[in-house]
Amino acid sequence: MGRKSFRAALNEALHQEMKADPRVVVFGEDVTGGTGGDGEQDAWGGAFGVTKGLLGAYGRERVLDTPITESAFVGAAAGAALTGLRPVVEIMFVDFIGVCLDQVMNQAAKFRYMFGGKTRCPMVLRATFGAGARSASQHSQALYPIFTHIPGLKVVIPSTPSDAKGLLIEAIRDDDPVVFLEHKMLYDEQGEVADQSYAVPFGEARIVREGPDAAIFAYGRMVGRAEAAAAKLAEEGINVSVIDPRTTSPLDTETILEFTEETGRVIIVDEASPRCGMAADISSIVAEQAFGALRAPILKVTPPHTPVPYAPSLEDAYLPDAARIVDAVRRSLAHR
Amino acid sequence: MQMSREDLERAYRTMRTIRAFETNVHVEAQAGRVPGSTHLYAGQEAVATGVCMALGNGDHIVSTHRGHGHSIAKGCEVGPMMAEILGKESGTCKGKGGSMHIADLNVGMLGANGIVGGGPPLACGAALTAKTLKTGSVAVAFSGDGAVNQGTTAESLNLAMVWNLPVIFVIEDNGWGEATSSEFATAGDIVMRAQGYGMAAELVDGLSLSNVYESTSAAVTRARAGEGPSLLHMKTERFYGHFNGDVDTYRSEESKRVQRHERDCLTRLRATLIKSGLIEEGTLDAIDAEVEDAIDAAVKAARAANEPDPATLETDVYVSYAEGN
Amino acid sequence: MNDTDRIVPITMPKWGMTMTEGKIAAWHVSEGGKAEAGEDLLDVETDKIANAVEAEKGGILRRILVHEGQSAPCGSLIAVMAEAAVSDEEIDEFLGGFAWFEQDDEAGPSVMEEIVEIGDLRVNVVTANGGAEGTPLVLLHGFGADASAWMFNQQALAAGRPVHAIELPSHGNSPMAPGLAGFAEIADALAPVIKHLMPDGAHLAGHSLGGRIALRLAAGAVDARSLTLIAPAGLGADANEDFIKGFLNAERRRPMKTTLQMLVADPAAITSDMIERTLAYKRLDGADAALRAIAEANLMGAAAAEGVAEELSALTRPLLVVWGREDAILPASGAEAAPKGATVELIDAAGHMPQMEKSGKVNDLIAAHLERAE
Repeated sequence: MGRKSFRAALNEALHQEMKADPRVVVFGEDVTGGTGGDGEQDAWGGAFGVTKGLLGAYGRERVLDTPITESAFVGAAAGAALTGLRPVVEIMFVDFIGVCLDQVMNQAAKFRYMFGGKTRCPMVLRATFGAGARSASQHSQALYPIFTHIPGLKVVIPSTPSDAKGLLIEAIRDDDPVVFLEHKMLYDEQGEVADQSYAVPFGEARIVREGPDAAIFAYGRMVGRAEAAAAKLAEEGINVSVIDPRTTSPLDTETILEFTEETGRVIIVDEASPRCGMAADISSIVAEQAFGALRAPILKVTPPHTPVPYAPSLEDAYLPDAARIVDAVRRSLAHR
Repeated sequence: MQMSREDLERAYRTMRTIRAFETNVHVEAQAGRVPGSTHLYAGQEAVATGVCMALGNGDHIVSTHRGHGHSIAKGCEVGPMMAEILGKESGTCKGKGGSMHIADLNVGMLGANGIVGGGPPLACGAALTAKTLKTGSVAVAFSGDGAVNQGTTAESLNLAMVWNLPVIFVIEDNGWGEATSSEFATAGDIVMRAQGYGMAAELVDGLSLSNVYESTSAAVTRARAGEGPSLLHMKTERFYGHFNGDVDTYRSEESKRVQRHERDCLTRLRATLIKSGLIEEGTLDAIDAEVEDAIDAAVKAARAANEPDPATLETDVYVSYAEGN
Repeated sequence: MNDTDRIVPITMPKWGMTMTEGKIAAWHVSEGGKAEAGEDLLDVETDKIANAVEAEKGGILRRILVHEGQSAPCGSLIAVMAEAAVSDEEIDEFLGGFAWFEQDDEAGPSVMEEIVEIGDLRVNVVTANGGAEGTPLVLLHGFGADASAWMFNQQALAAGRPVHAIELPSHGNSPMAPGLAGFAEIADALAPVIKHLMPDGAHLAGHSLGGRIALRLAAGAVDARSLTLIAPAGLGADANEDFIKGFLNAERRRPMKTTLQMLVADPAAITSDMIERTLAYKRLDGADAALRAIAEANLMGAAAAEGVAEELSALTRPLLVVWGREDAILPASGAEAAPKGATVELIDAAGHMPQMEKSGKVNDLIAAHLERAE
């Protein structure tokens, strides 16, 4: 046990799984960096440094840089997974899914069903996501609703270093294709992470905080903001629960309903666009299955339905923050 | 890389099986017994057969929307295939995939594919497995002339060279991408495209079983030796329209008649075998009869088979999925 | 008389290694109200735990500095108690010298942990007040638990003596030790660790399976100055198999919650954090196999009872047996097996975890027991 960064926790997960299972391979753009040059090898270790050091430990046979061709290498991951490897493939920004979605949506996600349950496609697609880095519209999106919409995929959004490690190990050991989304603003977050290998199961929410007055559901970086809002409210004697479902598919609907029943007030914080996002999805589940428990309308705290802007003032206004979450809780509590 | 008499007999049987299978699927489709679309392989049998005869059971193929021929040539059973196309429980994929998604990993058939250009990246992946786990296998990506213009094909050619993968790209050029001719849709030269990546590539007469077999065998040898990928541009022709609902008016009746009489790879193989004395006509006739019986039985069984149980609607999406635990 | 006698500062407690601050959940005594020694003054909670803070001495709660719902760092002053004779001015003066938000590093004896390696065995030892001179106390937790089972006891018992909470092999931060499963093997493996840390002998206390191990050690390999057994395995009826199987099989929050609630008299004592921590431990590679082996070797059927009578009769030093009357895992009737001369204390409104549920009471019992033994 020790304090580790989100990035280090992911790196440790990759090291431990590559060591434990020779079928695990890692590839993507610049997962090592420097390949073919006369300078430093493993120069980048991934655009965000998550895969640094794997090259030295496992060699070029299992840690491969790719050309900038997401369709080819994401599809190669799917083909490799069908035939006996357990690839962990990285696309630098989830926004780039636009050039290779077919290989995920029509190929990897559907093999098992189309082929009558006779195949497995144990691949992990890692990608960074999320706003906050002043990266503008093509490098900042929170596209997990797109993947969640596709049957056959599992979708994971860790919010702490400890979960990052345990969920990535689970993803690598899982026999289905898993989309593993890492918020780029969380890489330097520190937290307690066990040194040993461990796997955190999918479809089980983390109870971040328990309080009877309202339930806030949040993913990824929004979990921290929900916690900040909860802490602020606690100073006034308003005690709210904060729940991180951890995965959007499978979704821990039981815990969502449990906390809806316990609090009667539901606030969903989602960094994805408001239309057809997780906030909308969870709202519909709560409205359909726990309508009687609600004491106030379900409230969604999301960005506006716009692309992610560049200028700091605009981007800050775009993202849900603790003040907006506090405000939503107050509006919910105002309903008697 | 001469084919033995035994090989040739097997090749003839495979080609005849594909032809009979497709002829029957056509009948079933015309009669309204095929629930969805199906793309018939008749006319192109020499390609699937010649390529797959150069492969072993441990080698992998990735197919296309026109995949029945590849499936049969790689060893999928015709009974379950026919049942699958008719949407039956006893189908290769339990009725969940249909014509465009027949797959059987036990014989190295990684699936037909409903997406033009969907397959080449997958073949790179299968080749990566072979290379990483040192299995000695090779992977073949069948693609049509339409798919060569997809970005995935270009990306895969490049990746295959960059990673030096044991993969063979078989471009099965039947002259038509749906209803548009490749003359119009494909600029330049497909072999030269591959050569532009530094890849071994050649133009092959796809109507000649022996040409297909020999060029593929050479490519397989290179791949197994770690000498990297190849592209084989195989010129061929399809007998039917793009799919079962395509009345194929973009080709004249006369040209189709001439094609069937003068450029049928199966007739050509049969004539060569008889003329060269390698296999006597009676043996071939006997094969024809056996094949007819087998396909007949497959059709009858498929028609009689049960439709999938609605309870199976939600199975086989995931290996495991925890929800609302 | 100086301030420390007449004015008693109440500070935010520090429970366990990771607690840095606590929130006042409730004051049970209002400003100006009287409290007896041992009476619950307030409830403190963190995002992980919740427990009561008792008055060490009787007196009047003169000033509340941190109110309900507010948080304060561990060791910081949250209230002041004094007799009526102490003037408000004196209290103001006292407060002037004690900034309420000040982090006090002396918030209780210091706690550290280290892996101790003896031969092939590596175990994690959490030590409170390691530098103290008194006879050390060794704490051995139960099946599936870790040193945090003693979070309300370890520092409270560390006045003048080191208190070592040893994490059993394959538990807590001790590495997985497949093959080390039976209580006798574990005891034999731990004996050199205890001798290494405490060459001049130690008091031993064990809870549940840890109690069985402590008995084995005290009856043989270790120079035990006294022995405290809290709801020990092996003395009475077999362990509740529903609990053992529930614990082994629970992979998710809800079943684990139901299972852990069997441990305590008041189910509300089981917090989300305890559940999450227990699951996190069970999810470590190797934990499941280790736990199953330990359960199989000790807790399914009567395995833990083997040798108990002989070992109890071999004890030469004072024995304290503590049991929660509502123990649903190992029934309190097991206390009847305690030999003549042992001190037996049954705790009301406590289940299998009296040292957590009634920590003040149990701490007092253990402290008095240790004093008698010395």
